[in-house]
Amino acid sequence: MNVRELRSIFQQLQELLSSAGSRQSARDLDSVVKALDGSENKTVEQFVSETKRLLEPPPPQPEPAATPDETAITHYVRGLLGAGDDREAFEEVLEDLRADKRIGKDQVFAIANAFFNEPTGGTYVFKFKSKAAAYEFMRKKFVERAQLDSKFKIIEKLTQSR
Amino acid sequence: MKVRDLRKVLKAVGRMHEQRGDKAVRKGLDAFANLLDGHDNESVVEFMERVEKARKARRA
Repeated sequence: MNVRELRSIFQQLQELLSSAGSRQSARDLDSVVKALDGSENKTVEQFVSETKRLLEPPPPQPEPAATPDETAITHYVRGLLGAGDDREAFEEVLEDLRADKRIGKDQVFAIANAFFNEPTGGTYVFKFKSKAAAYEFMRKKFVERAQLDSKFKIIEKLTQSR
Repeated sequence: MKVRDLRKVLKAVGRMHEQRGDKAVRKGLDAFANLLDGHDNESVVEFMERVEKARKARRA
Protein backbone atom coordinates (compact mmCIF):
# COMPACT_ATOMS: atom_id res chain seq x y z
CA MET A 1 0.00 0.00 0.00
CA ASN A 2 1.38 3.42 -0.84
CA VAL A 3 0.91 6.74 0.89
CA ARG A 4 -1.43 7.99 -1.86
CA GLU A 5 -3.91 5.22 -1.01
CA LEU A 6 -3.51 5.87 2.71
CA ARG A 7 -4.14 9.56 2.14
CA SER A 8 -7.32 8.76 0.25
CA ILE A 9 -8.52 6.55 3.15
CA PHE A 10 -7.97 9.43 5.55
CA GLN A 11 -9.91 11.75 3.24
CA GLN A 12 -12.80 9.28 3.13
CA LEU A 13 -12.67 9.08 6.92
CA GLN A 14 -12.80 12.86 7.13
CA GLU A 15 -15.94 12.92 5.02
CA LEU A 16 -17.48 10.16 7.12
CA LEU A 17 -16.73 11.93 10.39
CA SER A 18 -17.91 15.23 9.02
CA SER A 19 -21.23 13.82 7.87
CA ALA A 20 -21.62 12.08 11.25
CA GLY A 21 -21.30 15.46 12.94
CA SER A 22 -17.73 15.02 14.28
CA ARG A 23 -16.41 18.12 12.59
CA GLN A 24 -13.58 18.63 15.06
CA SER A 25 -12.28 15.08 14.51
CA ALA A 26 -12.59 15.57 10.76
CA ARG A 27 -10.51 18.74 11.04
CA ASP A 28 -7.95 16.90 13.14
CA LEU A 29 -7.43 14.47 10.28
CA ASP A 30 -6.42 17.42 8.10
CA SER A 31 -3.09 17.41 9.92
CA VAL A 32 -2.62 13.73 9.00
CA VAL A 33 -3.38 14.39 5.33
CA LYS A 34 -1.00 17.37 5.33
CA ALA A 35 1.80 15.32 6.87
CA LEU A 36 1.41 12.73 4.12
CA ASP A 37 1.67 15.37 1.37
CA GLY A 38 4.74 14.98 -0.79
CA SER A 39 5.27 11.31 0.07
CA GLU A 40 2.48 9.89 -2.12
CA ASN A 41 4.75 7.54 -4.06
CA LYS A 42 6.34 5.95 -1.03
CA THR A 43 5.02 2.81 0.59
CA VAL A 44 3.44 3.29 4.00
CA GLU A 45 6.21 1.17 5.52
CA GLN A 46 8.87 3.44 3.98
CA PHE A 47 7.09 6.54 5.20
CA VAL A 48 6.74 5.14 8.72
CA SER A 49 10.33 3.98 9.08
CA GLU A 50 11.70 7.28 7.70
CA THR A 51 9.48 9.32 9.98
CA LYS A 52 10.33 7.26 13.04
CA ARG A 53 13.99 7.89 12.37
CA LEU A 54 13.38 11.62 11.96
CA LEU A 55 11.48 11.82 15.24
CA GLU A 56 14.21 10.10 17.22
CA PRO A 57 16.01 12.48 19.57
CA PRO A 58 19.50 13.39 18.32
CA PRO A 59 22.26 11.16 19.69
CA PRO A 60 24.04 12.61 22.71
CA GLN A 61 27.07 14.69 21.87
CA PRO A 62 30.38 12.97 22.61
CA GLU A 63 32.26 14.22 25.63
CA PRO A 64 34.52 17.10 24.69
CA ALA A 65 38.12 16.01 24.26
CA ALA A 66 40.40 16.62 27.20
CA THR A 67 42.00 20.03 27.13
CA PRO A 68 45.79 20.17 26.83
CA ASP A 69 45.81 21.14 30.51
CA GLU A 70 43.93 18.00 31.54
CA THR A 71 46.12 15.82 29.37
CA ALA A 72 49.28 17.23 30.91
CA ILE A 73 47.91 16.89 34.44
CA THR A 74 46.98 13.25 33.81
CA HIS A 75 50.42 12.63 32.29
CA TYR A 76 52.26 13.87 35.40
CA VAL A 77 49.94 12.21 37.90
CA ARG A 78 50.40 8.87 36.09
CA GLY A 79 54.17 9.42 36.05
CA LEU A 80 54.41 10.27 39.75
CA LEU A 81 52.18 7.41 40.85
CA GLY A 82 53.85 5.05 38.39
CA ALA A 83 57.20 5.66 40.09
CA GLY A 84 55.94 3.56 42.99
CA ASP A 85 58.69 3.54 45.62
CA ASP A 86 61.47 4.30 43.13
CA ARG A 87 62.88 7.61 44.39
CA GLU A 88 64.91 8.28 41.26
CA ALA A 89 61.94 7.78 38.94
CA PHE A 90 59.79 10.02 41.16
CA GLU A 91 62.37 12.84 41.21
CA GLU A 92 62.76 12.59 37.45
CA VAL A 93 59.04 13.14 36.86
CA LEU A 94 59.05 15.96 39.39
CA GLU A 95 61.95 17.63 37.56
CA ASP A 96 60.10 17.34 34.24
CA LEU A 97 57.08 18.89 35.88
CA ARG A 98 59.10 21.83 37.23
CA ALA A 99 60.61 22.44 33.80
CA ASP A 100 57.28 22.24 31.94
CA LYS A 101 56.35 25.79 30.95
CA ARG A 102 52.75 24.83 30.15
CA ILE A 103 52.08 23.96 33.78
CA GLY A 104 51.04 26.87 35.93
CA LYS A 105 50.44 27.16 39.65
CA ASP A 106 46.85 25.86 39.54
CA GLN A 107 47.85 22.84 37.48
CA VAL A 108 50.64 21.95 39.94
CA PHE A 109 48.09 22.16 42.77
CA ALA A 110 45.74 19.89 40.83
CA ILE A 111 48.55 17.39 40.22
CA ALA A 112 49.48 17.37 43.91
CA ASN A 113 45.87 16.76 44.92
CA ALA A 114 45.41 14.01 42.35
CA PHE A 115 48.69 12.41 43.45
CA PHE A 116 47.35 12.37 47.01
CA ASN A 117 43.76 11.32 46.25
CA GLU A 118 43.97 8.86 43.37
CA PRO A 119 45.34 5.79 45.21
CA THR A 120 42.53 5.96 47.79
CA GLY A 121 39.78 7.43 45.62
CA GLY A 122 39.63 10.37 48.02
CA THR A 123 38.31 13.81 47.13
CA TYR A 124 39.95 16.05 49.71
CA VAL A 125 41.34 19.22 48.17
CA PHE A 126 44.47 20.65 49.78
CA LYS A 127 45.23 24.32 49.39
CA PHE A 128 48.83 25.30 48.79
CA LYS A 129 50.45 28.67 49.19
CA SER A 130 52.94 28.14 46.40
CA LYS A 131 54.21 25.71 43.79
CA ALA A 132 57.15 24.95 46.09
CA ALA A 133 54.72 23.97 48.86
CA ALA A 134 52.90 21.62 46.47
CA TYR A 135 56.21 20.00 45.39
CA GLU A 136 57.21 19.59 49.02
CA PHE A 137 53.84 18.02 49.81
CA MET A 138 54.25 15.49 46.98
CA ARG A 139 57.75 14.59 48.19
CA LYS A 140 56.48 14.02 51.74
CA LYS A 141 53.63 11.85 50.47
CA PHE A 142 56.06 9.88 48.32
CA VAL A 143 58.32 9.20 51.34
CA GLU A 144 55.35 8.24 53.55
CA ARG A 145 54.05 5.81 50.93
CA ALA A 146 57.49 4.33 50.28
CA GLN A 147 58.02 3.78 54.03
CA LEU A 148 54.61 2.21 54.40
CA ASP A 149 55.24 0.01 51.41
CA SER A 150 58.56 -1.13 52.85
CA LYS A 151 56.88 -1.95 56.21
CA PHE A 152 54.29 -4.04 54.41
CA LYS A 153 57.02 -5.89 52.57
CA ILE A 154 58.78 -6.71 55.84
CA ILE A 155 55.54 -7.95 57.40
CA GLU A 156 54.83 -10.02 54.31
CA LYS A 157 58.29 -11.60 54.45
CA LEU A 158 57.94 -12.39 58.15
CA THR A 159 54.51 -13.95 57.76
CA GLN A 160 55.62 -16.00 54.75
CA SER A 161 58.72 -17.38 56.49
CA ARG A 162 56.63 -18.82 59.36
CA MET B 1 -8.68 13.97 19.08
CA LYS B 2 -5.91 12.06 20.87
CA VAL B 3 -3.48 9.78 19.05
CA ARG B 4 -4.95 6.93 21.13
CA ASP B 5 -8.37 7.54 19.53
CA LEU B 6 -6.94 7.70 16.04
CA ARG B 7 -5.25 4.33 16.62
CA LYS B 8 -8.60 2.83 17.58
CA VAL B 9 -10.22 4.26 14.46
CA LEU B 10 -7.42 2.87 12.26
CA LYS B 11 -7.80 -0.58 13.84
CA ALA B 12 -11.54 -0.58 13.21
CA VAL B 13 -11.17 0.61 9.61
CA GLY B 14 -8.41 -1.94 9.01
CA ARG B 15 -10.58 -4.78 10.33
CA MET B 16 -13.43 -3.64 8.13
CA HIS B 17 -11.23 -3.72 5.01
CA GLU B 18 -9.83 -7.11 5.96
CA GLN B 19 -13.33 -8.53 6.29
CA ARG B 20 -13.98 -7.30 2.77
CA GLY B 21 -10.89 -9.23 1.67
CA ASP B 22 -8.53 -6.26 1.37
CA LYS B 23 -5.62 -7.37 3.52
CA ALA B 24 -3.23 -4.85 1.96
CA VAL B 25 -5.20 -1.93 3.38
CA ARG B 26 -5.25 -3.55 6.84
CA LYS B 27 -1.49 -4.01 6.61
CA GLY B 28 -0.96 -0.40 5.51
CA LEU B 29 -3.13 0.95 8.31
CA ASP B 30 -1.36 -1.25 10.85
CA ALA B 31 1.97 0.08 9.60
CA PHE B 32 0.75 3.64 10.00
CA ALA B 33 -0.62 2.83 13.46
CA ASN B 34 2.89 1.67 14.30
CA LEU B 35 4.11 5.23 13.77
CA LEU B 36 1.68 6.36 16.46
CA ASP B 37 3.01 3.91 19.05
CA GLY B 38 4.15 5.60 22.23
CA HIS B 39 2.37 8.89 21.47
CA ASP B 40 -1.08 7.97 22.77
CA ASN B 41 -1.46 11.00 25.00
CA GLU B 42 -0.51 13.59 22.40
CA SER B 43 -3.19 15.21 20.30
CA VAL B 44 -3.29 14.10 16.68
CA VAL B 45 -2.75 17.67 15.47
CA GLU B 46 0.28 18.14 17.73
CA PHE B 47 1.86 14.86 16.73
CA MET B 48 1.22 15.23 13.01
CA GLU B 49 2.57 18.77 13.05
CA ARG B 50 5.79 17.38 14.53
CA VAL B 51 5.88 14.76 11.78
CA GLU B 52 5.33 17.38 9.10
CA LYS B 53 8.00 19.64 10.56
CA ALA B 54 10.56 16.84 10.82
CA ARG B 55 9.94 15.74 7.24
CA LYS B 56 10.08 19.29 5.91
CA ALA B 57 13.34 19.92 7.76
CA ARG B 58 14.83 16.87 6.10
CA ARG B 59 13.71 17.95 2.65
CA ALA B 60 15.19 21.44 3.17
